[in-house]
Amino acid sequence: MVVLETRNLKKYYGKVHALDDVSIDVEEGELLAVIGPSGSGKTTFLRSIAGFVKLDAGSIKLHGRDITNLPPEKRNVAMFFQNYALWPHMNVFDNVAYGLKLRKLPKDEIEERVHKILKLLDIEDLVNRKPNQLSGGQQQRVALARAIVVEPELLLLDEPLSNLDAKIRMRIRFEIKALQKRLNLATIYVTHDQEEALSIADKIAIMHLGKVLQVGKPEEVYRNPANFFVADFIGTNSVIIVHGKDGKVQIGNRTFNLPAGSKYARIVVRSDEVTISSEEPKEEKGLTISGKIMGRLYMGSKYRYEIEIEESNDPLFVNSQNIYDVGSEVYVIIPDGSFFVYEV
Amino acid sequence: MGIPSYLPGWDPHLLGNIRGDSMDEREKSTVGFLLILPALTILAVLYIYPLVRSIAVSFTTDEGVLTFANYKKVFDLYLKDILYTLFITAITVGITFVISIIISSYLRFKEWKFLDYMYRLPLFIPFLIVGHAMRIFLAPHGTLNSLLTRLLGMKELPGLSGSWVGLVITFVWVMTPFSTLIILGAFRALDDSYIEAAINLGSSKWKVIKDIMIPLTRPSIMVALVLTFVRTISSLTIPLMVGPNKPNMITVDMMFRVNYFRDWGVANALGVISYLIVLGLAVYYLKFMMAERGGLKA
Repeated sequence: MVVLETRNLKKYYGKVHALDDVSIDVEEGELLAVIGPSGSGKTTFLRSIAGFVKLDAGSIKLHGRDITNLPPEKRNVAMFFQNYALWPHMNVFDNVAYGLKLRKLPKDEIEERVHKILKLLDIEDLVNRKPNQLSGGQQQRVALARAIVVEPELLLLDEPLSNLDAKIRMRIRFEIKALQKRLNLATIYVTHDQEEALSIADKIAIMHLGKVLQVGKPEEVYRNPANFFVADFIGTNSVIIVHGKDGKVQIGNRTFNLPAGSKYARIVVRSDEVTISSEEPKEEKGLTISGKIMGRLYMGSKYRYEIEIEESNDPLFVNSQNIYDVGSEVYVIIPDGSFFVYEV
Repeated sequence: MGIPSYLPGWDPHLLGNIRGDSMDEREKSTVGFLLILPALTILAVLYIYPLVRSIAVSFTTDEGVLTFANYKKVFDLYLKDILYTLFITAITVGITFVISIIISSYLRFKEWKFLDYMYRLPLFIPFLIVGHAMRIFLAPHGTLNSLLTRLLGMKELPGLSGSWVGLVITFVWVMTPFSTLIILGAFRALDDSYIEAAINLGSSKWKVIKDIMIPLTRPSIMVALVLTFVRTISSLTIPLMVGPNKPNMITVDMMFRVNYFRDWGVANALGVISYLIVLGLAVYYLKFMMAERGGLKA
């Protein structure tokens, strides 16, 4: 069942298209991650659903009800703010209970629901604390509790993990996902971190300059990127530009035809999915490029190599667990599906 | 440190010596004392000395004998005026607060350049002119009454220029811009997300103002109210020009005591009572600020 239906959303700030014909749906219990670089319009998209951005065109439906022109306080979507926005003059209980008090629920029901949600998030013992007496992770949970306690039809998360340090972020990612599944709550999760999006989302929408470039399952957008931008934005990649000759681009053991008018091709290589070998492979599988190792970085679990290749001025950056000496000649074997060729 | 090391051409190491790196504690405190001495001198000459003198004069006769006669006279003649002053000041502060909150809230949510400039206008008009303008505006056959009779065909009302209502209207007109300036500044400094978070949960604009914006800007609002109170209670020109002849504000009484009776003793006694009223407010304000900072629990 479709919970949220957005159609042809448009928003202009002067000449800038913050939202350019955006249409995305969210299904029951689905977690949609909206990703893109800063300025891609992802936050504008989220805020327009919450009602804080007035659209220039388009329609938004929530459970079939048109909410396009509804004021934000009447939408029943709960937003989680990047900076948490916990009110410093209220303690944890009052912060979480605020939405329920506005709904004029009886006192014991408010108390019961607040405690239930605080227990669910494992922050029951913080109930009397003020926000400035909480750690970043605790504030994050309180803000989440405040958003979900009102049982919204849709949960909007604006970069929920960006203010936490890397270690906690990893753990909370799973917690948010588990919580969202447990509540079966349709959720939009805005982030600029593609890895976070891949790991947490049921569906990913990639935005760039106000446009939605691709919507699909994480595996889908990773394996079949719709265009160069998506291929490059998702995953850890190395991009090389190879110039064409006689309408053809030749690299390693492969040749690609260039359409008329194209001068060169951009090749996106998934850096983690290659094999490096000092001997030429016997089997002709995937793309094999020969080159010379120019640099090596130790990354802990792997080494990152900078490899100079004949076909391009750009070095190829690839990762491997094996160690090779700087200056040695090697073959980089990239399996099919781990590189993408885009003509320009 | 308060040393703007980002100033171009400023080398923070220049301060190495006076910062005390090579001084012992006694030298340091001497330098510190010398640094605040000018401010201390001004405070002593222009504030502490007159205050002490004023208190002294209020307790002595012209011959310099200690007496409570001045205060007895104050309570015999002016008790009603003191209460009236408190009443006018309190009402002014209350109405100013409400109007300031309304203007500030409106401008926090909506941009309206005209109002944004207009509300500040009274700041730039001298009290004397305001007083005179209001006397004409509120007079029995003044601007307000003519407008009401001509436009609405109402029966002419008695003029407000000689009543306490007219005085309060004038005070509010004069005091609102300053208090709005402070409160609006505080409202605008509030992060949008505090307000949006409340609206997102279903709060109306008025609820947001009451539940979120006012509590979060309480220190600034307190400053605005305290300043309004002090400016109102110490105003002379306006109650002299607008308002009834009796009862009168303390400041006017003081002026009469000095101008017509050369009675510095009673004038100073009235002054001391004004001090005490403001002092009471100051103590309350300081207590509030301490509590706000978490130093004191109310």
